[in-house]
Amino acid sequence: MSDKAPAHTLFGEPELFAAITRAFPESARLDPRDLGELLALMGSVRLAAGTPLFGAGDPPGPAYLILSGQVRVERALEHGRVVLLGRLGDGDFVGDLGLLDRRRRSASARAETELWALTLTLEDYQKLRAEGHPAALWLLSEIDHHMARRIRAMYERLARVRAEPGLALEPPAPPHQPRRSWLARFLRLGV
Amino acid sequence: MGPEQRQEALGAAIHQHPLLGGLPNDLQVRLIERARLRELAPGEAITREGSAGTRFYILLEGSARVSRARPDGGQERIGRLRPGAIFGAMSLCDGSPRAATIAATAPSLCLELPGELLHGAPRTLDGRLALALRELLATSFSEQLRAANRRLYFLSRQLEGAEDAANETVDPEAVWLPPE
Repeated sequence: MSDKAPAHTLFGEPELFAAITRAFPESARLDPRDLGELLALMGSVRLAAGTPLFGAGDPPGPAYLILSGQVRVERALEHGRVVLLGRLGDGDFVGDLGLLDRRRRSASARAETELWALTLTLEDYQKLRAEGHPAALWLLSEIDHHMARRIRAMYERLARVRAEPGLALEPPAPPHQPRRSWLARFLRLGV
Repeated sequence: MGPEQRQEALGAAIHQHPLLGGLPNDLQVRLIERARLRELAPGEAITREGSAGTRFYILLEGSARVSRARPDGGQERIGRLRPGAIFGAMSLCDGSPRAATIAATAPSLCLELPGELLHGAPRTLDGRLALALRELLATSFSEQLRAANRRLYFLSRQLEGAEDAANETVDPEAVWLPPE
């Protein structure tokens, strides 16, 4: 088979190829063969809205690459209330800290809508890493990019909370929804 | 410090660093070729909020404060850096301007690394170095994110009036602390 053959004919996963390059456009810069080798190591999960991915304190597990859907990352407070640490969507990573260390999960994550995600275990990531696979460098570039954005967002939020402590329980406005509709939903849920 | 002494100091700094010192020798040699040492006087800024980032840094000696502009024009201190801290890399990773100003609070020594080191071609020496450096960055970012998440969590618990939250020992200013 020629190296020039489309990747999905090499690996027989046209839907996955289309989905990953849509959610993670930079993955299209990987050689299709390298991307195919990465996909071959990954699992694909489809979860119903409300399904937990992991809970705070759980042992380390796979990282999730969101192809479509939305995930809440949160920690429980007393009296059944929670603090929303982040809301992640298409093209985001969830639980990526688990690829970097073997520490327990620091927060809980659950699907907020129907979710389609790819999963990668620490062991498989380490295989790619050990051989200097191009997909390992791509994954790390994506993780660095997403973490930098999440840290910036969290600094902004902490700055707002310092100015007005009552905002600590307020979740950040999601990027693609008007702020008011989220707040209305938040108040209605009594989160 | 003369050029030879600087090169020697650079090699020693990389070799003795808790994270960089663990890199294979050929990667350490490549780092020595590409890195340079920056000495900072107290008060001297090394990154400025809002500017474009082209380099990143590792604090080797001394200390630095992380601050951001307040809406009233003043500066708010949001953290401090201790030796071992990696900083200045966020803007290289997400393409946004620098998020904070970082200035030395004591005579300090930094390792300055060009951003190109994060973009080596896979399966080359530079690609292996990029992989190793990106992993260091990801680890450093994950510490920052966990610290920020913890801070928000405890702020929320304090608001909730949780009895033990008031006694939490989380350092509100800890941006990133290197492993002990």
